[in-house]
Amino acid sequence: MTTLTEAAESGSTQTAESAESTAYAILDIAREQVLEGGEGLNEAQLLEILTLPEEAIPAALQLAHEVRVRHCGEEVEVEGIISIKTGGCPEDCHFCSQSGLFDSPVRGVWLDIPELVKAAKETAATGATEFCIVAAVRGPDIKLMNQIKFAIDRINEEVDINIACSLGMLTQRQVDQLAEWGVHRYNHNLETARSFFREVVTTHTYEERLETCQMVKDAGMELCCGALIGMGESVEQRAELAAQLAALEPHEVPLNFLNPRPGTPLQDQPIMEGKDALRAIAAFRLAMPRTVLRYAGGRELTLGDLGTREGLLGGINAVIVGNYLTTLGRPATADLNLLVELNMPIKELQKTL
Amino acid sequence: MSSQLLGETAAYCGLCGEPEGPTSDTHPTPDTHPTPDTHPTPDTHPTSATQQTDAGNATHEPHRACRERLKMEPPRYCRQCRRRMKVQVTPLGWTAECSRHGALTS
Repeated sequence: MTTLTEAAESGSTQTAESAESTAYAILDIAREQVLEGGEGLNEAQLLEILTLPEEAIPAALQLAHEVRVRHCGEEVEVEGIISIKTGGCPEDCHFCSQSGLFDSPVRGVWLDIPELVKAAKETAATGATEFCIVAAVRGPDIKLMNQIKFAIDRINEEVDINIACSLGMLTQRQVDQLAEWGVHRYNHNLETARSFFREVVTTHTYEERLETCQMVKDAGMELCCGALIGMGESVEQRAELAAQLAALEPHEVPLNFLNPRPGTPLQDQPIMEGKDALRAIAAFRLAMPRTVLRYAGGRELTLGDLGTREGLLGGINAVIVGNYLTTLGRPATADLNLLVELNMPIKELQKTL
Repeated sequence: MSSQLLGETAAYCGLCGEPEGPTSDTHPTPDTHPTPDTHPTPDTHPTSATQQTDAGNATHEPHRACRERLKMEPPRYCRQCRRRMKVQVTPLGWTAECSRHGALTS
């Protein structure tokens, strides 16, 4: 891996020769390497994106948007998510209000299947093509797997939508079952960089997360593997995370920004700066030119309405519509109207058989 | 829609679970504002972020910051008895149910 200085030096040489050069060598390199060549930036290069001066952010976002349109197309993928089992999780992810180990006001709740089907219908009615069923667990037990099978069957009977799941760490048998039941995408986040992971989670390891991710891919399901930034990681660790995600080649990366939750160890963490969030959006897109890069939790708090628009014009090509698992999002209509205004078509359903 | 009557006195903040003060419509004096020192309870302790934000307008609306936050999250405490509610969020709504005072929906 080249150091930052080496990358910057080699970049400045190219800048002088480039016809379309900007004042920032790394953006010229990215234009050539990512936009034209389709090859994501490496960790050292990503760090340069993440440390660009504020006045360079619009150019970085513009380039990320061009990369997104070139390599993914104009369409935006819309998804709804729902918690089938809320709270009482045995894990200690320090950002999460659903851990049973913290003094959080979130109580344990199970959603019944008729309500789940109703939510799937409402989600499909927004134009969403994805419906992700989430459980706050270390991994599924037999009871949860049975509920999921039942839920998938009921939804498939009544609603035309792709079903994704996020149920924690899986065994090989569970991976195979989910694939067989028609779950087309499975979410399992890395959350943060390997070097920061133990600061955030102590009840399982980064390697365990990677194992589930790999099994999901090997079974032919699409891997949705996301990030949560703004937890106190360094900017170098943010670059590390983007590079580690890129190495996994996930179909989708949901990008979350910490919303500090009462009672969790990260409750006093300051909200991430909007400018840093925008740098991260550009960097993640430049790390992964072909991945579905989804706006997920915390964007309302970190970016607000203006930032939401900037991100959609800066590399994002998917949104979670409406509410999250324990917090609320912008009204679904606000995002859907924004997509109309930006002339970005919503991706249509192509259900895999 | 709500089975909790709007006319009933709201004694507690739905977000942090702390007392609202004499009535939610009048301005409580500084003495009636709950502080971490006077109203600690193990399971209803507000976050320090809430405390900091509240501090600026403590003499007027002690839970103004909480009300702002309730635009972006469902209530967690019953406003009548401060019990933690069972809350289910869905993509387009939420319900919050108190075992004694019934359910609120978005």
